[in-house]
Amino acid sequence: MADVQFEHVYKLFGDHPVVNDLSLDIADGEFLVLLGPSGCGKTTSLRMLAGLERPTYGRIAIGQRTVNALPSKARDVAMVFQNYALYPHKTVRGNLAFGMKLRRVPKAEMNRQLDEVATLLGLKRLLDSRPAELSGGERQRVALGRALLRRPKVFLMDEPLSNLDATLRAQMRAELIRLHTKLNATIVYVTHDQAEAMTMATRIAVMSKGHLAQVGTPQQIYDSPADLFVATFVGLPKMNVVTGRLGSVDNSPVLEVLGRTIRMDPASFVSPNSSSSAEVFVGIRPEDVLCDPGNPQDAIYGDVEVVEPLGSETLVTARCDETTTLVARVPPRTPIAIGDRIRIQINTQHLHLFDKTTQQSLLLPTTSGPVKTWQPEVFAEVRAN
Amino acid sequence: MRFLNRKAPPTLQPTGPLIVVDYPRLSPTGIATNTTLVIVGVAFALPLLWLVLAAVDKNADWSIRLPNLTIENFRAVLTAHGLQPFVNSLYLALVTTVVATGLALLSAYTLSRRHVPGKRTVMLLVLFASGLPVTMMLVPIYQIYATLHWLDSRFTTSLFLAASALPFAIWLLKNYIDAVPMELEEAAGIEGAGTLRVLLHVVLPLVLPGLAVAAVFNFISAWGAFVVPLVLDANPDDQPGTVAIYQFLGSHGYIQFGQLAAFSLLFSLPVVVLYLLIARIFRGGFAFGGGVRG
Repeated sequence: MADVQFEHVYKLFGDHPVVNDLSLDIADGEFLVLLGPSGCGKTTSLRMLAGLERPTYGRIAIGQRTVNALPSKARDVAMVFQNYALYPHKTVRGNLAFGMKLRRVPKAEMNRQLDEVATLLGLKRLLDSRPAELSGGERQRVALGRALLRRPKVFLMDEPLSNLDATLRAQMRAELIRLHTKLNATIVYVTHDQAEAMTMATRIAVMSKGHLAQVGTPQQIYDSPADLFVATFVGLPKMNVVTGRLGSVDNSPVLEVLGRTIRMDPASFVSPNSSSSAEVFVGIRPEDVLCDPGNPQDAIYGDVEVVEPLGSETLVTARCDETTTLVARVPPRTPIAIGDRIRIQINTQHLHLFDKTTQQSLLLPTTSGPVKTWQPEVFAEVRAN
Repeated sequence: MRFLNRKAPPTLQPTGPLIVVDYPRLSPTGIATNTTLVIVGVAFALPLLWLVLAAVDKNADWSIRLPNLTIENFRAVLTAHGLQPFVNSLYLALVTTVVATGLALLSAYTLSRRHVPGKRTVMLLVLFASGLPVTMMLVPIYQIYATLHWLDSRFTTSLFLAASALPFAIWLLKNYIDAVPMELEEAAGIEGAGTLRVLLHVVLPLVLPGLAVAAVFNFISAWGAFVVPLVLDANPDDQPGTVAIYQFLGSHGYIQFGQLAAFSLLFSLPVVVLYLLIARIFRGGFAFGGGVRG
């Protein structure tokens, strides 16, 4: 096992930077997930770590040793590919043993290790089958077994679950978590699937257009996204983003959003660069949008356009004005139908503020949230303005 | 639409009627296609039929007729020439096959996987060269061979046959290697395999059908080569079967149809065997699915 460092790593294809100044420290034993949409440079970063691509600039180190000039075979890493990359002409046993044969592991030792891994992954009865005879999940387990037998310093995984169906993916996710706990291995895992990232990672590194947007634990990423991209990329359904305006009432800062005025805690955020009354993006997670089908009194009103029952919860999309729709996550069997006019409240404790030009988060790390003395009825309270 | 009258198979426990919809059996297009195929098939089969019949006919001539059965033709051919023409043909074909296929695999791998400056131009030149008639180059090649004192040798003759077979084999094998997913080589590389091991343990087994096609093709074209051995190797002891057949047409004053057919039949046997072999390679044992998905 070993730690991994990316130090100001760039990868240019022609003049186009695919990876742009990536600096990242991955601790020994960490399950780090590189998360981002396709084309964000996450796979290229992993391939540079594997030695399959050369960084244009920057240093990559495994276990404190610079590996830039080392070929893949000397880096002591194992990789699980999205397409499994099993040798089709070899049996499962042959696939698992190939690497050990190359490393001249003694026969008895080889059989012992092979047996151990095959038992761990439930592959014992498949040892004499060829990849073509296996299901997707079984192939993925063989690919994983091949990586385990390498006993590498670092495991690299490139979207290993994306070709599996949903049930199998959830099951393999659990298996990977168990495996990571058991082996205490350093794993660098690339995915565009936020569910995989959130469930398995000890830390997530979110990438966007070649840049590292944010690194943190899954909960940190979800609770305090560093910029608008991370905020909208992580979380399903997506975070609602509306335009708001920062101002002040009686010398204390307020946020005007959705026709309401909310008193803010001045210690909880920084002002946007331009001026103190600038426009900002306000992010609201769907679970912080509260719907109340009855009581048509003071509040934001919305006309329900879409209702998506998911069984355990229902997603409601409501139009508040010509430019604004909000998605709310409500309990199942809430009596809301398309066309209803509903009353919407917002849990302002978990509001997110983003600079309109830089799109960076304006919130400072606090424990209490951005809003001064939050109460559920905060709207009613500050409506005086 | 009608309903199935006979009993359903026991594995089926129908809960409703079994509906059968009939499809038309013969269409005008189908009839036209089959007729054309039969005509073309007969055109190909008739000369072969003559070959077989004439070989066992005591009084063979141009016509196709019931033979006056004899094995005299085969005996005469084998006593006149012995097995030497066959041995010579085999020598030329084997050396050509090994040299051409081996070099083609290495060249095709490099052209497929490595950065080669001007790769496109190189491949176009290879394609052009594979279509170039050998006879066009024969005069300068003769000059070169004469200067190098390479004339009248089976080995050097097969080297030229190999060189002329190379372009097509490279083109063929490159397409096979292109189809091998890069991830397989990357996976092997990460597991600790160098280029040679990757080539031998990962790429080679996967392009085996292509390699077999290239080898058989090289073998057959060298086996059937006539002009090149005729020009480059004047030693009568080195004469391959193709040149030996030629003598049935000219040197005896009249054409001995029976012996010509018998010799041709014997001479084409290895080719037939190889075609059967290649058909087997494609039919069984080479189902390479499941390694990668996508």
